[in-house]
Amino acid sequence: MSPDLQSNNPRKRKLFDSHGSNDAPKLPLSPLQRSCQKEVADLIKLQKCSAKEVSQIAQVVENVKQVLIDIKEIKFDTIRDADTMFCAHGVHIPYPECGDGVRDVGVSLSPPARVEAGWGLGHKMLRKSEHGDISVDLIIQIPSATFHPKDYLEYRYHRKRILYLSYLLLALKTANQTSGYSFLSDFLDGDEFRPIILVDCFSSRCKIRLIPAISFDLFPLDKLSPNACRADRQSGVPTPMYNSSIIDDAYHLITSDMLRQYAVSNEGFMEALVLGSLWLSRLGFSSHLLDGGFGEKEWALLQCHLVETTTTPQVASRYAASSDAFQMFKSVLNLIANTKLHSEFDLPTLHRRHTDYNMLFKMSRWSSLALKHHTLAVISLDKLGLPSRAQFQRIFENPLYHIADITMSFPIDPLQVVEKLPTITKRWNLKHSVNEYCYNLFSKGLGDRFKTMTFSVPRPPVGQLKDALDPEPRNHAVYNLTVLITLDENKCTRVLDYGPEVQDAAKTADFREFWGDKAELRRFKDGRVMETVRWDSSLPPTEQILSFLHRKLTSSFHTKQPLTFYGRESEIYLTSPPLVWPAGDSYETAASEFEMVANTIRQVKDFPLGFRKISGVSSAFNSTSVKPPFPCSRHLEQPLEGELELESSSMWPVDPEQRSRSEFGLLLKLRAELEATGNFLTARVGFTAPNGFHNAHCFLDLLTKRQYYFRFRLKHTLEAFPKGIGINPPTNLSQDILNEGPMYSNKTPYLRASIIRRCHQHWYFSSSVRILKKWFQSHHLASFFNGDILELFVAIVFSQYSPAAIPSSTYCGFRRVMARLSHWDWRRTPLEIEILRHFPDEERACILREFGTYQHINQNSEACLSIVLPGEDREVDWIRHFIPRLVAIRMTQLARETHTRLTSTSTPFNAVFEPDMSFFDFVVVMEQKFNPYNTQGKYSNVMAVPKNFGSSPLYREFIEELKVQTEEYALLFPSSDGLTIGGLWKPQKESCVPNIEGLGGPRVENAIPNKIVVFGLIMELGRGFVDKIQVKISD
Amino acid sequence: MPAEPSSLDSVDLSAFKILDPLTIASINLPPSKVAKVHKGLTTLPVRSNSLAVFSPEPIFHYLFVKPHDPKYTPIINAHPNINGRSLYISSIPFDSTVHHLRALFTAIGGGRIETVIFSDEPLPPRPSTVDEKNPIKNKKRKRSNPAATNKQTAETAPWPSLWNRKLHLPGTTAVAVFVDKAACDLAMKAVTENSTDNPNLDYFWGSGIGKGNLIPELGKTRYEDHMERMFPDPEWAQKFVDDSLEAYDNRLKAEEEERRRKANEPDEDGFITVVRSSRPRPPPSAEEIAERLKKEEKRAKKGFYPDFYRFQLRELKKEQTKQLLSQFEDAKRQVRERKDARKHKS
Repeated sequence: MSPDLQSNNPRKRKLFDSHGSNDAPKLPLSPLQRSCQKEVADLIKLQKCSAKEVSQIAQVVENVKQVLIDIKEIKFDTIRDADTMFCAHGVHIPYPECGDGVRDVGVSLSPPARVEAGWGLGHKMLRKSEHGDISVDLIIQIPSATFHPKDYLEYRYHRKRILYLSYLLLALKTANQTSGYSFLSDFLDGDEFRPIILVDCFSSRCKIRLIPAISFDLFPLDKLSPNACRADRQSGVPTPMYNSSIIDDAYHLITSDMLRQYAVSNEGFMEALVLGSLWLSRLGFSSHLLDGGFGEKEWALLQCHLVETTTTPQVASRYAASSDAFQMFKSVLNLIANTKLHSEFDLPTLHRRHTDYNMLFKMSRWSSLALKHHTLAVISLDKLGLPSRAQFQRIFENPLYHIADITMSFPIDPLQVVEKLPTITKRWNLKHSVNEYCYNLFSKGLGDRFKTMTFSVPRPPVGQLKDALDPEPRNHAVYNLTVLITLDENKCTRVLDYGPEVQDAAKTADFREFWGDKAELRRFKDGRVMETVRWDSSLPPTEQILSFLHRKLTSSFHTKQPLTFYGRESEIYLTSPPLVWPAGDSYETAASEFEMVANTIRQVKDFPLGFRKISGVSSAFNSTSVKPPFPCSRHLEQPLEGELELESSSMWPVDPEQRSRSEFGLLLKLRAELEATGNFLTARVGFTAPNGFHNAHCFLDLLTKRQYYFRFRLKHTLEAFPKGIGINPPTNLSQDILNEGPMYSNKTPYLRASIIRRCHQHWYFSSSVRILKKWFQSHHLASFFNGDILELFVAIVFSQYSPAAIPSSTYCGFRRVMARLSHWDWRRTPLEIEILRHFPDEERACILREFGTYQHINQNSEACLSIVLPGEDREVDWIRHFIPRLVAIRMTQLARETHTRLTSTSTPFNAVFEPDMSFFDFVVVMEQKFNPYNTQGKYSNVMAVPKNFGSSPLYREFIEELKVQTEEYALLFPSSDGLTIGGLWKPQKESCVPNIEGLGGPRVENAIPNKIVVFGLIMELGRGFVDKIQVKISD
Repeated sequence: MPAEPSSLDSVDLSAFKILDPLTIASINLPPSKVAKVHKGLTTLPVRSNSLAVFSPEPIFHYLFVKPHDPKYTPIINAHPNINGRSLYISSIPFDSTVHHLRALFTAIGGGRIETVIFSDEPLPPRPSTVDEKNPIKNKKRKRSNPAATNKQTAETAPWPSLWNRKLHLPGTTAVAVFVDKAACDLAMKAVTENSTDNPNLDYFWGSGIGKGNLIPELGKTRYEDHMERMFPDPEWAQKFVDDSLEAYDNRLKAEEEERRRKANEPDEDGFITVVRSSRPRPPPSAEEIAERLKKEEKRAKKGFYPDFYRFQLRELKKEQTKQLLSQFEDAKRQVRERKDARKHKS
């Protein structure tokens, strides 16, 4: 129905008529709203083509249009004659065979009744596509005289449609105006019922789609409802796709007119359309059948539908305001979210008002559910209370969006699958039908474990119009099907699937047929007997299910190829340390051993102060250490750190030196008490003195009978923040900054702990942290970052204030962290962690202002990675991590590389962990026998009590001292596996040598950088550790 | 997830080559390329064989030496008589010790070194002079407590060293103090003669130290020793802590006594210093609280006597008079009001 035909109901107000716009109450905008609109406008501007490009394209379109208008009429006695004539002139449009019902009917081909360019061109709203090419539609109305009123039956319409296309093509090929153009054949949005012609003009990167259309009243459209059988009437099977394709052709021109009208009357309408197109393309949706069948055109139809059906004046005025593009965008999302499925075909249905035109007829079940899920995620941001600007940023500037939890790919032979499909779907849109079949299979197998499932299929190449017939049917070759699945994090780890109860014989039979040998009958405590499927708990159940379903799908295939998972979860588990040490529950064992030690300490009676809290500090207790904690064997390795928090006391000495001595005394007392219990193999008190001879840090080392090695440090209320928290406080803050706000507040460690604790509720948090730590270790960056910072990096992607779902696989978590790090410009913005609450716009503006002030003052050779945490009572806490600028740049560079490589499915997951050693100027190769990784004992011998330290602590001490000794000349990147140390020469500078003569004495400049002496130093200091030094060949 | 690298094979080092003699020769800085005098300091090349595993050729380290001028420096306090007998040495190797420098100057024909002061080490205490050894007894002088001095030493006694050998940070300088001025002059002369323009200098750093001067090894043994030193003997540690904390307590007590004494004694001008108690009063014990409660109870039982003092009686009489007056005035007012009311009725 055209807009002109709309009913004149006085209660309804048209949205975009002049009255509606003028009457709309326009409230003054706040500065934040204005800035939001500016962001929207900037984004839209980026998407548009330039005026020059548009004028070039308009010229080409005009040429084609002129040729089509001037075309001459041709009459044929039979269609067969027409085919023969077109073939003789080298015109053949490939089309699947569809019967010979109209071959002997005469046909008259006359010039088009109307030729119209698509709506975007006239209003300079052509959008750049992701791949760089631009597509313009030229809609050609076939004269009604070409058709018989009953031609909507038995493919007659489609047959004549091809004939008319051939007629147009012949004219274009022979015309002088279009002599330089090339012509290709394609299908309209992948729908094989409706071929189109692509006109490729070499002078511009634009392709013109010639889309045949028919008059609105040519066929009785009410007879083309989805449940009617109009194609193969002998079978009697409903042909919804066939029917809808004819209706769609009848609405091309009406839709175009309507869009043109709304585009003229309202700017916000157009902008909302651009936003919607951009959002859809980022999610991978398009109008193409294989991309979900929902793209720019469908979005535009929904916008029109929204405008036509909205009757409330308030809402109408809101839409009518030209600046509310984002509001309209969200309204369309609401409309999508409320779309219902057809009761019979289980397909999305949304009819245009008072018509039988289903605007979503191309969508399949999988795409409609996925789209609905994404729209609900965006709508939920509103319910979380995020302001418009924050919502806009999260939707359009979020790089984490379309990273699925599982990405799997397998070769599929459509000819093998076709046997399992219904007859009607065998000939047409085979890949689309295969996707539907796979979706039904996988969704049934996964049950409620998944949220969305999308399919990615290689599109058939655009065909060259050959003179001869192509004997090989297209789209029937083996191709790779990629399936992207977003899981439900709470349900995807379930190992037992419940089927029907045994009393329900029909369902039980169906269940057994589907699951085969995997189905088991189980009796439960409540007396029910049910069919169940149990999966191996040592491997991720989702992957087991998908592998089973893949086997089921390809069981009849002649050539079987394996299923490929990208970042396979089971591989991650299997090749990580648990395989090396077959102790899967080592984290739990260490935690229980720590509890035992803590209980023993709590039971100590003769101790001057009570223990308020005994907690583990090591990441191993949070299951976030790369290597699981294992008992010592032969040698003492790196201990597991713990913390003893004492009751407060006013008796602590004020002098820090005396306080550390008091701590030492307390620990000696505790050691004596614990040794008396006989629960420990060794109990020793030690100290380190980072500041030379004073202010020693004392600790108590305990080796349990199961040979777990723990180190406890004391913590009391006088301390500003607990030891063991490795976040380095800012070193060079100016006094002004300190006065302005909390740069490093005492609460931050506690806040960080609460955030991380919250994140630990998520199943895949710890494994994502482990793999991120592994990545930093692999690239020799781990020594510059402590575990807390890396945990905070991972915490970002576990935020609920984002339209992206919480990661439900390690691979997804890792990819999202990489995406976030690669987009993080640490020079200009802090990293915002919105776990506990989100930052309102005002607070965000304050954060940026504060950050800008700080960065302006602190411009030195070190990079400052600023992380902002939301505090309680609208407070903001900062963590500033200082690292060499070169390391920060390296981190961003590597994250970008990794992100890009993981985007490509051809990159093996392991490849992103291979270090690029060519980055370094020299490499120190350590002796293999001192590799701390190799010397780890596989099993512990409880009889032999280890007394000496193993190579790991020694290596750590060596690295610390080496870094101090060489810090003026080189930047060292030690690997955590103890195999190599990468080194970069620092830029030469005239360093002033401080002399003993005090400030008044002369200063000597040491202008001779002696690299060879540095190598000598490394060899001397690393005697017994260092095997050789290798230098870059270019040196 | 990648498999853990079990060997070096998993690391791609194809862009690197091993440090071979040719490479070392290309990087090595021979004395011929180094200026003899650099910003007023004479360059002294020293050979080192730390890269002997890669190349038989020695590598060169360069020291920068000049006569030391100790005026207005803290060193003059530590060594009052070093004028003219010390050399300032810059860019010393990280493993330098007194023995290294002694052996160096012996080898190049310099004088005998008495001591070496490194910039990254605390200055030695000033040796006591003759006057300080026999001080004039001054009656006004505060009486010093030798026992207290000893305890303060225990309080500030340093923690045991965690390293068997001190390594110097980059940029550390040293002042070599010779036995006399002649030895110093001789050493400076030897430095000038053996500078970069003398290709015959073949002294290797660390050679000729002598077997008696045992210098702990670097490398793995150093770190093993360090790990051992982190855990002192428990008995020793207990004594260390006890002594230290006892000395600390005694010092605090002495300071408290001194403070109290000052609060009671007038100074030279006759004033008494008013001091505030710096330490918070300890919380009352259970007995003190019980005693206080008993007192309060007794006072409550005893009650309040309003006519004990004369002024109380006087004030009581005044109050009674005031009260009588006000009652009289009220009665007068009431009579007047009744009279008026009667008049209006009539």
